[in-house]
Amino acid sequence: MTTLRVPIVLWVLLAVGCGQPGAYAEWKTYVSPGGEYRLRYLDPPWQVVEADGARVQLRVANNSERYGGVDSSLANKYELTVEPVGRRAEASARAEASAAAGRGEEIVVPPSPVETRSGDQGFEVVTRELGGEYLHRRLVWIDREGSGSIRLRFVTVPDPTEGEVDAMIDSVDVDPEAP
Amino acid sequence: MTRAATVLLGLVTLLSTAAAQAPETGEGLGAPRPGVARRPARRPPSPPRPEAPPEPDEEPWGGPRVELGYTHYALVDGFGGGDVHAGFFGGYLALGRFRLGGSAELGARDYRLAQDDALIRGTLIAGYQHLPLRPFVPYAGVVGSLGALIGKRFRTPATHAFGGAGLEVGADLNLTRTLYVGLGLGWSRVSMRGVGYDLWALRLRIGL
Repeated sequence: MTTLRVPIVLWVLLAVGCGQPGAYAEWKTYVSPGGEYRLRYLDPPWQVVEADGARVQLRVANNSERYGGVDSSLANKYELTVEPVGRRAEASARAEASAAAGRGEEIVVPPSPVETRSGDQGFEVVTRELGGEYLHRRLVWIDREGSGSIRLRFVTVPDPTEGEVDAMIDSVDVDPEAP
Repeated sequence: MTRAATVLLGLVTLLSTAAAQAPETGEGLGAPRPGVARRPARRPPSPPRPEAPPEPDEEPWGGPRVELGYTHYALVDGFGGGDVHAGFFGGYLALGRFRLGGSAELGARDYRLAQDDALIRGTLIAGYQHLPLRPFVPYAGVVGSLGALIGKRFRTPATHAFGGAGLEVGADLNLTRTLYVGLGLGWSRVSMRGVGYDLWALRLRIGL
């Protein structure tokens, strides 16, 4: 019996699998019902607030709400809305930059090309509201196969150009089931 | 008168002779006077001592051992980071050929997307150690570990527990009766947030 124990322990250890997990192994995946896009997010702290057709809203609550259970008036740390739009990525980014300047916002990153890890291409613009809370907006449009694009609209209190937000944008697949 | 002069002359001669034979040095003033001081008792001659036996070779320390060490492994984050550098305090009981030990570890894990995580981990090892090659003592054992990562995700505090089991092989080199250095290589399969990770660990140790 004793001679069997060591091989059994080794077998159990090996049976759980070898190899390292890939990127986003701990992240969840949201696929829009119509298959327009696929998005990965880390839950917690991200949570889906509302999913309505191809539009989904997620957020990271502020600490007083998350840990104190207080429905405070403070802004969420991060908010993200993803939805399809009819305009192409570059035109959308340039239009948003003009609109942001008209609203008196600071352009932190002018319209710039982006590419996701799956090779989808688009444009982004980052602005900062010069109000009391210094809310940031990072808007990304990723072109679809035919016309239009998928828009990701981050509204954040922290800097939205940090690596974790980059990784979230990088994870987006547009029309993942398209041939 | 002549007889008295002769006696006086004789006394002077005797005194002068005695003075010449024993010059006055003052060294005898502190000496015990004859008939007052006791003679010290003579000890009987002691038998010749046997010669001390030659020192036997020092027995290796067989008690519990404590050690400090450094360990490095990767708990990958999927984005090119995950290197762990940690220090630990531990020890083991040398129960003959059986070794039972443990350690407590504190370190940092590289998280490529934001600030690094703090890491704490406890490990236990139970296994076999090969004593005939002393001072070189190879060993192999089964390792179990339980730990936690403490950090931030999207600027929000996050703690994730992980744990698993594996194998470790290594060797200690006893430099003196109690001081030793050791090297260990281990593989463990651990689980965190439902995801499995391979931990290939290097452990450097110095202990007493």
